[in-house]
Amino acid sequence: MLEDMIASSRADLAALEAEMIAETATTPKQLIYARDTLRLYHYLPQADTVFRVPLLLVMSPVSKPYIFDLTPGQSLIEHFLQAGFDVYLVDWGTPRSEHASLDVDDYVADWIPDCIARIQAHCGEKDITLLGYCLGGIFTSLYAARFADGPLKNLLQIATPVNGEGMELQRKLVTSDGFDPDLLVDTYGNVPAWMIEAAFQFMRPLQKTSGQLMLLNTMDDRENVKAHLRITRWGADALPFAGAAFRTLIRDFIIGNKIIRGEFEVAGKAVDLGAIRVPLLHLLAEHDHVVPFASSHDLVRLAGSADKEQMVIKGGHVSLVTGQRAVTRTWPHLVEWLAPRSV
Amino acid sequence: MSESDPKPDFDPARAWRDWFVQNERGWSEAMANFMKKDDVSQAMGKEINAAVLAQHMMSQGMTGPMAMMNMPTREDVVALSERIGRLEDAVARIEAALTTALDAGATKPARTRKPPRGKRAPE
Repeated sequence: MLEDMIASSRADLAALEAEMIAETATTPKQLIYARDTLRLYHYLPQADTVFRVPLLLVMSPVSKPYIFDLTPGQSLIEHFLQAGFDVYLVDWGTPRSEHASLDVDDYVADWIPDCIARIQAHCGEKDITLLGYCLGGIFTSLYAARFADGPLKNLLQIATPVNGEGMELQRKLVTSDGFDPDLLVDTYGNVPAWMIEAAFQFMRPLQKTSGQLMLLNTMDDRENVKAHLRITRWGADALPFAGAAFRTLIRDFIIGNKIIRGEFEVAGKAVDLGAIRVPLLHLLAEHDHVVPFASSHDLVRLAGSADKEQMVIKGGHVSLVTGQRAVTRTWPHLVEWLAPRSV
Repeated sequence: MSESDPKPDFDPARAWRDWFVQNERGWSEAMANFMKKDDVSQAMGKEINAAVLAQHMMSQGMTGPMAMMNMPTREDVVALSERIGRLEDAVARIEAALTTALDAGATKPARTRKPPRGKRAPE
């Protein structure tokens, strides 16, 4: 009897999970370029006319990009498409042992410019808007500052850390003479995905338990359960971190705090955030435990753009890109900001 | 509320869960602050180092016994996964080339969209 009940519950859960996966990342898209693990996608326009300037979404290399296209009605990409934007997405993929030498330079000075060149050829426009989220935001900020005379038209940043001293917990761990990042990279090559997931949990230790308890309170609401499982699945779906990039960011960003000092080198040249001249919007969250406010709020102050804005929402790291408040308030503001700058 | 309305049942487990959820952020912050203490972060860092070394030694030490039992090691499984990854990359390159070739003559929406009236970027 009990065995039957357990088997039935397992079957229900498996069905729910299958349903949830089938509803994730469903916005129609085409793969237009692939190189190593990198995939560049073009989302099929959903409006009769589109804004002239295409938009490229750049995800963090340690998280899967389907958070941008979680499910219909909860998809930032779908929101941009319906507002008339021509949307592209770079998926960095899962680094293998042969990619342990991938460094920040490779992402910023090679892979991003390569993607931009492919988009220019695909859509016929020279200008481009970059949207960077989390670590992807570090890459797009560095790109914008290092290639200030390039094709960048607008820079849209979400939860982008630039001040290593603001990453207090991570900084304390790597400067306390205990944890040795070199040992980790020398042993594994790439930082394993399970360590990345553990690091996210370490920053807010009881959040997972809290989520599970909240789930028990809403078990009767199937949609609510699915919404919860979607987010927890994404959180547990971390990617390995390319060893060399991890080492550089620990040494030069977290410990050396070189981005804010204008000493972080990309392609052999120190990058000054003041060199960013394009219109800039930075969206950040007051209670972000992954990218604390103290680490991210300096970007707008330091950027040299005349047209720049910082938008702070109440909430956490993920509520910037998904959730009811994002759909009704945050995303409309992004569209309102970007539309007049994309003609 | 009329007298005929049933009184909602009090569920102590649910009340406890609500209480936990409401207080979680504060407790997590307190735990994170505790982990920021020098000696705590140092001890945690050393634990991570030890775990990395232990796992490395364990996986090296298991290579011989696993081979004797005619079973694949973690390295063998990883090597297989990486070969599949390279095949996926090759398939993706072909897919992208085909998509681009087939898409060449397709009609695309005009890039003439304008923002709503009154919405202009600052000069």
